[in-house]
Amino acid sequence: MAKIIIPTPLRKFTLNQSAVAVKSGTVLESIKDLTTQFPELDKHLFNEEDQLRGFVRIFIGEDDIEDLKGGITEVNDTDTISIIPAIAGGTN
Amino acid sequence: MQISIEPAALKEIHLISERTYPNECCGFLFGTNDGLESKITRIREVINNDENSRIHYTIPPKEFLKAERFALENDLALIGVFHSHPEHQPRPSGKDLDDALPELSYFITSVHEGEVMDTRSWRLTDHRNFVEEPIEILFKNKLSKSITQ
Repeated sequence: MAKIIIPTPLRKFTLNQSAVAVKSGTVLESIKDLTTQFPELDKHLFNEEDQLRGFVRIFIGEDDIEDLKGGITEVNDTDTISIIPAIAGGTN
Repeated sequence: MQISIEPAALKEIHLISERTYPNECCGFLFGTNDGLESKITRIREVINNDENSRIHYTIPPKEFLKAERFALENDLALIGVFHSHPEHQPRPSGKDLDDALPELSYFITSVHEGEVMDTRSWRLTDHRNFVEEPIEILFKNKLSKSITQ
């Protein structure tokens, strides 16, 4: 099992757990396993088109998955995945 | 959730909002949170490096990690985020809603012709809508006033 680190604002939805064990596979499969375990998280991580929301940045170890293979990046059992918000907004 | 802020912290947000005008500013709110009430005692500006900083702000992931670390090291809670709306109402835009996180308070300050007009606080519901939360200003004699009409 891989491990996902949960940012503070989302821990309400993981019973205050800061880390959750998830299935390995692709990084998207691992995150979907997280939202299967904690369904209330799904709408905060994925939009209506089932795409990751704009603020959701995923790292494997120190590496942003956007610098790897995106959602299809392979995750091993020893990997630590971090969900880190890139907070954004504005008038428009 | 009840939300209150020390006057010095609110003044700092206003000074930053006016200094960065006509661009948007942004930063984090810190304080205490007992599950029913949040009290903001400190704020920290994050430089808005968004390429469209007149209408957008972006706080990169590394700044979020820094903020979580700052809260831990200072025995504070990360309460929320502030930003300004130059020449716009202090109400969340569609962009604000799309990118909002639950469990945080979002302070929005409107600035008109370089002068702060109003600050409002918003919080995401479980249905991903924003609701306004009245801001109480904390004074040392414990009297408070709401800045929300």
